[in-house]
Amino acid sequence: MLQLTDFKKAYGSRVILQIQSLNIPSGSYWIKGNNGSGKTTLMKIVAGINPFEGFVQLNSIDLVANPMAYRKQVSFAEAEPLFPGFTTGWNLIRFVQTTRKETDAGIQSLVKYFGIGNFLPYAIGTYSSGMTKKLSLLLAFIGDTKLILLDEPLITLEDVFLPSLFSLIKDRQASGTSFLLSSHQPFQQEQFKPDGKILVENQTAQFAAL
Amino acid sequence: MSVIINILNKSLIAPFYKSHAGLLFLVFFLMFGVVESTKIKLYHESLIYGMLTSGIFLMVVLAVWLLYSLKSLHFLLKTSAEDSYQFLHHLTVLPARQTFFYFFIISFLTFLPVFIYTVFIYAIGMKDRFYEVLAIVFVFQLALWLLNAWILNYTLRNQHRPSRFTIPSLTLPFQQNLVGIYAGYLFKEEKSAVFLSKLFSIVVIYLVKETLEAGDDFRIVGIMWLFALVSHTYLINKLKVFEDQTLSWVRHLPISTTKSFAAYFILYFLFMVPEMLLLIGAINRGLSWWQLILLPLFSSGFFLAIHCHLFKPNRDPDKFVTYLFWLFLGCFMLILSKLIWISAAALLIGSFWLLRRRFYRYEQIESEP
Repeated sequence: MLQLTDFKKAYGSRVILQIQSLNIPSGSYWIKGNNGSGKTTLMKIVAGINPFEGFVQLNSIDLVANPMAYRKQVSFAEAEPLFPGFTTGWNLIRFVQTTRKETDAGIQSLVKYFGIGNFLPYAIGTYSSGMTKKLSLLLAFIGDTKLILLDEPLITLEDVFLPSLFSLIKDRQASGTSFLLSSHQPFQQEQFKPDGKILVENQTAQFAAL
Repeated sequence: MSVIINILNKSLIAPFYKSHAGLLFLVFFLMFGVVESTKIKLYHESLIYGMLTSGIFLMVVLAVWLLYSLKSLHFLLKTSAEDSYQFLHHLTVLPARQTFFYFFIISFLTFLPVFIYTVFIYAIGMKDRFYEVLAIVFVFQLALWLLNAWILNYTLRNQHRPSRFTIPSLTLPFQQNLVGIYAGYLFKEEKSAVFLSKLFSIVVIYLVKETLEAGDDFRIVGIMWLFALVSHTYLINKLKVFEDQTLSWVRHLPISTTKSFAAYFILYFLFMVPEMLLLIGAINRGLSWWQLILLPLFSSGFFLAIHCHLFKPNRDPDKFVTYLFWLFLGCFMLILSKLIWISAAALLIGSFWLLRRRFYRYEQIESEP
């Protein structure tokens, strides 16, 4: 599914990540690493947000050579999302819906899942951090993407919502979507059981035992 | 210099001059670049005597100073209200008189370019004994500094109170695409800056329209249009900062660089529609319909050239003014050479090439202001 080859991310002379070769098969993976290890950087690069050196391919489609085809396959939710505060949640949902060609029924279903319908007509600046986080997660689930990257999906969310989130993840897994989830705390077995763990440390990323 | 003045200087004054480099450059060019070097002294003496002897001219000058003072006050209030400026709140532990003094210095420093010119007004006015006018100038400028200092001091010490005066907001519809989101940001978050930029720009274009006569050269309109554009450079900078801070996630969506370019183009085309409509009244007076349509195309190219420059990786923010200078000068020369359409085409094609090259290679580095 996801292949990183001769991959390097550096800021000037400071190397953040260097991966000679990493091949991640389809499935769901837990990205683990200490603060500042480069988890978010890795996810933002795989999402197509930040530049890098080397090759990143998803289902054999290269991120640099085919930027549109690659981005159609991947979506991303940030750990601490920042959205324009003056616009409404609905506006952003419709914007992403148009770009990802999602149906109205698909959107209504997601809104119901996340239970934020009442807030969406209001400006995002009035949302709590939990509501903003839910909006960010909802946007990541719009469209028929093959890989969903969720950076720290558990932070700022209330516990009662987590079963709904993991239920949605399971539904999408069943329809063939892969997941990369970063989290400092381990997932509860009954909620989410990853297929593998990718450890980000010492400026590189590699598979580790669960 | 006191440590606090030093901090305020670095955190407020330096960003003010960086953000308004375009406007200051424009004024400098108008004052010193439009006449031959041998006639500069005579030109400025005429301007100053005009101000000292004509009540109407004096009023116009005072109005321009007031506008500049409002623009600097707006910048200082908006910047100091940002989250990263919360450290300023520590100033409230100092006596109110002391913080008032600091803000008076800050107000004066933002006014410094005008004050330097005023020194020459004082020199000529004293020599020819225009004491009454000089007294008006002195009192007016002092009042501006005191008023700005008072407002800044009051705002710092009364952050818990709701603002007494707010400009009404305009919530734009159609915010479900990039153009709508950018336009929504300008009309909601930068309404004062939009108002001041448009005020300046529309006044410039209105004056040109009123002075044009049948048979006049289109280059007059072209050059004044270019001057009007410079007053918008602050907004382009703000749009890029907005994009970096709250729209970086959009880069993972399947939106081609061509579509992004089209969105910027439409936005920047719309920027100058009010001025374009104003110029309809000047058709057949130095301006044809084709030239009227050419103007917003040229401005879109000019604004896009600035926006795409801001995508340069590891950009040195201090070199922005230099870039702006050369861009302005290049366009100015092409307009003078009756090649505004080549300028428009070159700016649009060059910007598109730059955006395609830089869009996905760009990353906002936290240390960049």
